[in-house]
Amino acid sequence: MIPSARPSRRSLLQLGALGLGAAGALGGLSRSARASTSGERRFLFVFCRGGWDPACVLAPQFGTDAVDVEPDASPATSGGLDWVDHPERPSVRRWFEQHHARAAIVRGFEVQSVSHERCAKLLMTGRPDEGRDDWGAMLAAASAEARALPYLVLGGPSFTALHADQVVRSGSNGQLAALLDGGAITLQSDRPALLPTVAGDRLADAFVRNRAAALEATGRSLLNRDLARRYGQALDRIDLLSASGLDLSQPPGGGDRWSTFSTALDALEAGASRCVAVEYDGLWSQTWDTHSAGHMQSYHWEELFQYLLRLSDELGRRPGLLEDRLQDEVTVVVYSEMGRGPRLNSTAGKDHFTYTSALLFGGGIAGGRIVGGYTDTGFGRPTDVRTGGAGDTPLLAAHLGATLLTLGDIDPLSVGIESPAIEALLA
Amino acid sequence: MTLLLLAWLGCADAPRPGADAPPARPSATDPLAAVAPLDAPRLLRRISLDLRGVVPTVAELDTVEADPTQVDVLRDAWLDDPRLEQRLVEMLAEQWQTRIDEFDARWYDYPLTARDEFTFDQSVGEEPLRLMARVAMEDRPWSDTVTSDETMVNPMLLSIWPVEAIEDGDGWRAGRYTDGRPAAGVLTTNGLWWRYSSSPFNLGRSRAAAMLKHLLCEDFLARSVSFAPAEATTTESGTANAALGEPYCMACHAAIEPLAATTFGFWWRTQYSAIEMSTYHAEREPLGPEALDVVPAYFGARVNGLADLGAHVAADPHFHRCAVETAGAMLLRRPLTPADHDRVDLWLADYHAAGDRYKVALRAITDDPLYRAGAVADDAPDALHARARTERLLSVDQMQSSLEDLAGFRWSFAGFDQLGVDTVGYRVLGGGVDGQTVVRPQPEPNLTWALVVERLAQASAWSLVRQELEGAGDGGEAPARLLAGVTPDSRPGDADFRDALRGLHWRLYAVRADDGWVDAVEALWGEALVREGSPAGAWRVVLSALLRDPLWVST
Repeated sequence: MIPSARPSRRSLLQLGALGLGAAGALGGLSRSARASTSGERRFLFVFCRGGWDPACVLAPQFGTDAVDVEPDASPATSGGLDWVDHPERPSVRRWFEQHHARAAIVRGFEVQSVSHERCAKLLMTGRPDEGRDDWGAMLAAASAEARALPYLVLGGPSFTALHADQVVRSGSNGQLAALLDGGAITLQSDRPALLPTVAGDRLADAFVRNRAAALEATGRSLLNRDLARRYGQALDRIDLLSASGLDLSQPPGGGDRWSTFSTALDALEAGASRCVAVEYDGLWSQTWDTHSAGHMQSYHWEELFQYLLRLSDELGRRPGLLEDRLQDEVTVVVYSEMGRGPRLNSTAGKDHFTYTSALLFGGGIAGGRIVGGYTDTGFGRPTDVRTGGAGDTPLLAAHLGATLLTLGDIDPLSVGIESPAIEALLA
Repeated sequence: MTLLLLAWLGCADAPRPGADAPPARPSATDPLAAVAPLDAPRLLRRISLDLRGVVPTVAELDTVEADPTQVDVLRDAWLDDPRLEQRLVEMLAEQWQTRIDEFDARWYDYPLTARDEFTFDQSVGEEPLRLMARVAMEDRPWSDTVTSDETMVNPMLLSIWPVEAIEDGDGWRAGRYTDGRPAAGVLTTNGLWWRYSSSPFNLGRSRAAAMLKHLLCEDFLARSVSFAPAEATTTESGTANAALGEPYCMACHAAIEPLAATTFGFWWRTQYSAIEMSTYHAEREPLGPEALDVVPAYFGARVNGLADLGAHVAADPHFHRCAVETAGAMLLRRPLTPADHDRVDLWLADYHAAGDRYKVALRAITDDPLYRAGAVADDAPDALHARARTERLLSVDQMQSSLEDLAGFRWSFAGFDQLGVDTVGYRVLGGGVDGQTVVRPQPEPNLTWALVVERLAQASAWSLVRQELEGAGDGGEAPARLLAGVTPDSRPGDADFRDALRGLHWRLYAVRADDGWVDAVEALWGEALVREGSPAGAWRVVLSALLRDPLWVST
C-alpha cells in the first residue's frame, strides 16, 4: 500500500542539525554506531495464535491410551531432543536435525485459563489480568540502550501496564511506514494534506521537543513531568528510526509472511529493537484453534518450521553486534497461548487445554535440553527447575517468563515474578 | 531567532494546577488532601473534552476565569449537550470493546459494497453502546439498558437486520427488532453477541463470562484455572466435561453454565452465516438447558429466558455498582481498584438518590477530587500518584473530534475513519483500543502515538490554513475561527499577530500565554516563513507545532 521506494522525508533529517545531540546521547542504530552497544541479549517472540497441539511435534506422548496421537506419527530423536516425526512434516525433521544442538523444549507448563485472550495474557505476563507488562515490554524497558523500536510488535498480542512507551506496533498494513513518510495523510486521506517542507517540519519538531523538555523540567506533578519526558523520548525515537534506514513497509496481511520475519531480523540485527514479536497464525491464517479438523495442526507445524528453518539460517548468517553471528545474541521463543487436550473430540479436533509446551533456541539457551514433561494422562508433570527433570514444581508460564527475564539480566523478583527461572534452560 | 527560540526553553507555561492551593502534604486521615485540583480553565477543558469531545470556547474560558464557580454550571449544562451521546459511545466502547474491525459476518455477506465496510462494522459494534448512551441521555433508569424492548438503529442496520425505526431521523435513532426476540436491552442486541460469539464447543460460556464482566464487573476469566485437580477425573472425552463435575471447576461454572443456558436464542447452527446471525431463534432457547444440562438461572434464581434474566440483572445491586464503576474508569481513564471503593460509594449514593440515572453518576464523578486532580505532592505515596491521574492523554476519539471542531479536518479514507479502525487505519497506533489485542487506552506517549499526533496535527493545520487564510472551504462545515484577526499580511510584531497567538494559546490549552511563549512562536513563524516561502506555509508549520504541544495532547 505504501510505496517503499518513496524517499522518506524524515530519512533526510540530519540528526546533528537538530541541535539535540540525539545520536550521540542516545546511541545510534546504524552499523557504524554498533560499537556503542552493550551486546544485550535480544529476543524474538513467535506467537502461534489459537492454541497448538504439542503432541504433534514438541511433546511425544506415545504408548498411552489417554492421549490421541496422529496415526502416522513416530518418535524421533536428534541429539538430546526427542520429538515427533511425521511423513508430512519434512521441515520439522530437517529443523531438528540441523538445529537441535541450539534448541530446548519446555514441556507441560500450565497456562491457567482456557480463554484465548486470558491465556495469551498469562503466557506473556504470568497473570490473567492487566496488571503487568509482558516479557517483551519488561525486557525492552530494562535495556541500557536507547533504541528506536524497543519492543517492535509486528504481529500478535502485546500487553502493557507500566511500559506502554516501549511498545511500537507496526500495524498490519504498513501503517508505521506510512506514518513515518507522511503517506498516512498524503495518500491515505480523502483530503490529502500538504506537508510542510523538511526544513519546516524540522522547525516544528524542535519547537515541540523544547516544549516537552521545558514541561519535564517545570511541570507541577510527577505525572506531568513523566509524560513530558516520555513524549520527548518518543520524538527522539522517531529520529533514531528515521536515521536507521529500516524498511518497515510490510505487505498486507496474508501476503508473504517471511517479510515479517525479515523485518524482525533487520530490527534485531541493527540493534533497533531489544525485542520483536511476530505472529504465525497457521496455514492460510486459519489459526491453530482446531476444535474440529485437527489434521490442520500438521499443516501448521510444517509451515511454521519452514519459516523456522529460514529464520535459523538467517540468524546463523547475519552478523551480531558483538558476536560473530546474530544467533548468539538473539533468543527465539516459539509459543502458543494454550495447548490442546489429550483426546480427540467428536469432531476430530481437540479442545482447549491449559498444559502446553514451547520451543526456545538461540543465544543463552542450553541446547539439546528437555525441561518438564507430561504424565501418562497427558497432564503436565511437576519438574525440578534446576535440572529440568521430574521434581516438585508444577511449571507455569511465569517460570518461562522468569527464565527469559533472567536471560535478559533482570531479576524476576525485582519485577514481581516470584516463580524462579528454569535454570536448566540457561546456557 | 533560533537563539530566541532556545532561550525560551525554560519558560514553558505549564498548566497551573492548584495555583491558589498547592498540594498539601499527604495526610493519614485524608489521603486526597495531597491532591490539588486543576485551575478552573484547565478543568473546564478536561470536562469539555470528556463530555463534548471539543475544547471550550473562548467565551466559556473567559467565564470560568472570571468566576471559577461557573465550571459546575457549565458542566451541568453540558450533561444535556447532544454531543455527550457520542462521547458516551466512545467511552463505553473502550470498556465494552464491541467496536472491533471484523465480525464473523462481513459486509460482503450482505448486498453492500467495499466502501460500506467500515460503516458496517462500526454500526454493528456500536449498537449496544448506542442503546446505553441513549438511556443515559434520556435520563431513564439504568435498568432500562437490560430490560428495554428497544435498540438503536441506523440506515446500515435497517438495511441488514430485522429491525425497524420507531422515531424519525436520518442517523442513529430508537428502533426495535421485528423478529420477536425478548425485551432485554443490550442482552438481546445482535451487536453484543456478534462481538462475544460462541462456538459449538463453548456452548455460550464465553457469552456468560462477557455478561458477568460487563454487567457485574465480575471477571471470571481473570481467575486462574488449573486442570491439575481434574486429572484424576478425566473421562474418555477428555476434560470437556470436567466443568460439569469437578468441584474445582464448578466454583465458577456453577454460575457460568446456568447463564450460558439463557443465550441459545443466539445459537447459530452455522458459524459465519449472516442469515443465522442476523435473526433471533426463539425456537432454540430450549437447547441451552439441554446442551449444558442445567436449569437457566441467575446465581441460583431460576430465570425464564433473556427478558427474565434482564429483570434479575436490573434488580441486582452489583449491576448498578458496576455501571458506576465503569463510568468512573471511563472518566478517570484508568481501571478502578479497591482503594477507590469509598469514592464509588459516594458516586453510587448520588446515582441511587436520583433514581439510578447515569448522568447523575457522571456529575458526581466529575465533582470528585480524583477527577479534578491537577497536582499531587511529590512525596505522596506512589499509590496516590497512580490514583490521581493529573494528566490524561487525549483519546484517539477526543483527538479526532476536537480537531474536527477546530480545523474542520476528519481523517477518513475510502469510507474508513482512520482513527476508528486498525486493519487499514491508526486507532491502536494512536493509543486507542481495538477490543481484542489492545483493551486499555494507552496511558502515555510512545513512538507511534507521537507520529499519529504529528500527522493529524499537520493535516489539521493544512485544513485550517486552507479554510481561514486561503479561503477554500472544501465543502465542509465552517470550523470555529482560530485565526481571528490574522490575514496573509499579518507579521510578527504586529499587535494583531501577537493577540492572535495569545488567543490561540488560550483556546487550545486553556492557559494564558506569557510573553516568552509569544516571542518564541513569533520566532518560529519567522523562520518557517523563510523555509516555506509563504505566510500560509509559515502558519501551517506553526499550527502543526501547536497542535502537538504537550498542553494540547493532554487534559
